Amino acid sequence: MSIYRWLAGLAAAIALSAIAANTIAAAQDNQQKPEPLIAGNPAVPPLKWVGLLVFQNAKGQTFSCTAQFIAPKVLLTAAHCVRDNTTGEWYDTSKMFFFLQYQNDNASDIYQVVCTGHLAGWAPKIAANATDDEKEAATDNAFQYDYAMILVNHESITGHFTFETDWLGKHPTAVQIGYPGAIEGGMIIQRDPGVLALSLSRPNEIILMHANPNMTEGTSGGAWVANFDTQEKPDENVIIGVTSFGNGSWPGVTFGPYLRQEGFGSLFDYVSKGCPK
Amino acid sequence: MHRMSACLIVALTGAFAVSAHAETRAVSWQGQAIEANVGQPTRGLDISREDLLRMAREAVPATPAYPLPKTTHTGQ
Repeated sequence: MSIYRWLAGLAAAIALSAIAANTIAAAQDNQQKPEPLIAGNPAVPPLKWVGLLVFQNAKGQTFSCTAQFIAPKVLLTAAHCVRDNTTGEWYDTSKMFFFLQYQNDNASDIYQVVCTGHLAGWAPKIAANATDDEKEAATDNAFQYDYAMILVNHESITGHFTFETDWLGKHPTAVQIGYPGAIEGGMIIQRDPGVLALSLSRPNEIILMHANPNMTEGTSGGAWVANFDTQEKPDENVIIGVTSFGNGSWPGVTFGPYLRQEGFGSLFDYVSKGCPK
Repeated sequence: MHRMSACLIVALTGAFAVSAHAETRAVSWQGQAIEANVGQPTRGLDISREDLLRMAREAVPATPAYPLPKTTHTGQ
């Protein structure tokens, strides 16, 4: 991707953020101030539905991401936490574990994986004779599909999030959650409020501007939560996005796929049913 | 008879030992192209809770970095 596309995307984001900022200012007038960055409490909603996803690659290297329950036995995370789309390698489900309410080297429950699934767009088939530009474009486009679902071996003991698709125009802000290794060694879940905007780099991509340069490695797969609330109420704690990647040139900005019902809903139905043939 | 029992035990043990089989799938579901990796969770963890927590503690946070050429998103 050229720097010009990036700049175009950023310019659009800034423009949209200005609109969102006005919305926030209006909210502040109504005494609904955005919450400051703070370590999350995994004992209460919505963070009690979140945990650490740990997996190994074929080389035996162990990595961690963030994941959360969106149904009693279904987790949402980033697609790059279940499969390397540059090599096609699926991470071994028998060496993948989910640690619910992970904090300070402990977890309330540990889950095994039954199956993982993602939309095919995450692993585009690139022709052997493709040019470097074509390969780069295919990889770039894949990040619009950087979300995956995981069916685990038993039900969540704490409950789960709800989610919303095709929400554009409804939510100006969201809270990014995750286990960034740069904060407390990734041992404590963090929440970070930010302003949502469209990215023009890719059609189905959104960005969250939270201004925290440390919400990086380890937050992959963490949800973007609209109407974040420590109380369980209808229409509160709704997942509207998931962390895909950041860019060192734009600290404090996180990118994620825009969740459309046609893809997200089908994947949810498929994984919920055990990833049938 | 003892030999047969021993063989049966070995066979059963072997069946458990190879339970970590996985199968990949590419399907069309509700009109959407989906790919999946289906495993077979072991019957009861053969790893202790302490070892699992050690695995979590030693894991490297995956890298949500922009896909510059020759980099990946899992910190590899």
